[in-house]
Amino acid sequence: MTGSDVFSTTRFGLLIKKEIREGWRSWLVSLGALLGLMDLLSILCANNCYYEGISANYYSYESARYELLFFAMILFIGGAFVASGAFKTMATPPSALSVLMLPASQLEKFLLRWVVTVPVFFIATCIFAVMADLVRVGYAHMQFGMGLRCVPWFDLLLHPENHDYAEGFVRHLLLLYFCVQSFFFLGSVFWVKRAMVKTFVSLGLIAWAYFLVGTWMFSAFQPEGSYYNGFSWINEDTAPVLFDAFSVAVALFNYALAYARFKESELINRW
Amino acid sequence: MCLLRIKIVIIMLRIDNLTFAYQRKGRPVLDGFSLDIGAGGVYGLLGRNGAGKSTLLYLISGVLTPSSGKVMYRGVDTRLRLPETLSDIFIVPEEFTLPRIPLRDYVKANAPFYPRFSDDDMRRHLEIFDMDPDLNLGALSMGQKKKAFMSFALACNTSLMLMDEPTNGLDIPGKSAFRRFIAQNMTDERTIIISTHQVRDIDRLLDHVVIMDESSVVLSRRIDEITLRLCFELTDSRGLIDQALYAQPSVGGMSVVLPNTDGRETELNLETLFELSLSKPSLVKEMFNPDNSDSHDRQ
Repeated sequence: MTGSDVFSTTRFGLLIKKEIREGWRSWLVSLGALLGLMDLLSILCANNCYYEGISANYYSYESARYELLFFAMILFIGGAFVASGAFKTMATPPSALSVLMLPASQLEKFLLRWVVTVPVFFIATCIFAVMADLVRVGYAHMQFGMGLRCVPWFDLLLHPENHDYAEGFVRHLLLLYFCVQSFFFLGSVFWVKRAMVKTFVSLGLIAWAYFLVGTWMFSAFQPEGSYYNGFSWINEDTAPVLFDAFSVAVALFNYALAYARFKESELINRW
Repeated sequence: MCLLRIKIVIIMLRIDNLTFAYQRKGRPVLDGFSLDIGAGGVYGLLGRNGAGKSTLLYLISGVLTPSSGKVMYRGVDTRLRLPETLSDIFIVPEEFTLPRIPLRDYVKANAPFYPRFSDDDMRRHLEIFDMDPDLNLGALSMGQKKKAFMSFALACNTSLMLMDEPTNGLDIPGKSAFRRFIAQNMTDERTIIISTHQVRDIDRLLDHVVIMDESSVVLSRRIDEITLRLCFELTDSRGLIDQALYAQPSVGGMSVVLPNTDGRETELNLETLFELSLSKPSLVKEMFNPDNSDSHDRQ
């Protein structure tokens, strides 16, 4: 096996071209629907600003808090939905056969699904968020004569210390998004049908099991009236770093596991 | 002076002791199955329903994992699914999906993965099937999609082509076109394995017959080797019917299979050969024992 058997940039480029040629219509419809939904929510937020009497010639958190909340929800839910459908072409034997028999390496086929599902969806959502925010400002100006300002997206991400407490979580929220989405991406490899529901239920069961086992162990081994002080090194400075590192590590682990499973894919799911 | 006849057969595909079951603890569909396929020729893969013909094709192409055994294509395990191997094997399954895009776009998207794809061949194949190159795949019936897909498949010029029930869904002109299609595209470097129940659609195309039953190969021989040992007659003669290895009623008399004791050349009747192989597998295996033959088959 040579290096080009594992990955070839030429072949990967051909895969991307094939994906665009064969799927551009459905992608256009999906992205159009996403943009439409975000525009609609932005317009609703502009209406809310008017009815709450929020109007200023500078950006304020109050003027965009609902929009940011809705966009975060769309990112998480939409990301989970898209990730759950990453390997839907493997759902039936005829479509799985065309995927498996395509003369490209398993890594290239996997990477294509990952690129489309993770970074492309994320970048598209971010771009649409900026566009929808412009719609909010433009609509507020045209409809109500209000002087709202756009959300300073880059400043929010790169300088959270300049903003309110809630907005300081933007970076951590984004890493958490990639971590959560990676579970749905992993789920789509194992369950080609109804992956989103099955992954959601599995995550809930696992989280519940961890909670039950954790509380039982604490109550079983911790003398009554005392408390465990072993985690004193976790404080306001170290906790965010730990959280970010954990999110990244879990996401990478899930992607690696998903690739290992996809590599062994067969025409029919015999698991 | 004794003339030594040497025949060199290049083994393109080696199926070695393959075992496969759809359920982990279920009855195996293939159990210790072995077969060699040479380079060049049209192989007919025949067997009862559930004999494992389609499964064998999927195992050959590497999209199923055997419990044991290997399929080696030009010395490479097909289960590795290396791009180089996949670009030299094409499978036309019984059921397939095509995107709802123009055929031209489908060819532009997929042809670059096959280094020997030929636009001229694609055009020629579509002409054989009387199909318009400007058609949209989403607007076609199943039979038309099959014609378009097979045209593309052969235009890829892969060395190994696997076809599962290729004439299913084709109309009568389509079946005739399929026969022309295969006949005109055969080369010494290309091997086509056709799995089918519709033996009458392909009997005149075949160079080699493989009949499988009970997870093993009953017969794997070239047509000329078969007709060297067996005669296929349509007769009313009581004497011949009594001597026959196998006889079944047919239009115009009894279709019989007789040992070819006097070296006559008769036309192969694939249906009766198939019935003989399934009803008397031990006899057929003994008749075509490799020890008595110069064939490459390992059964």
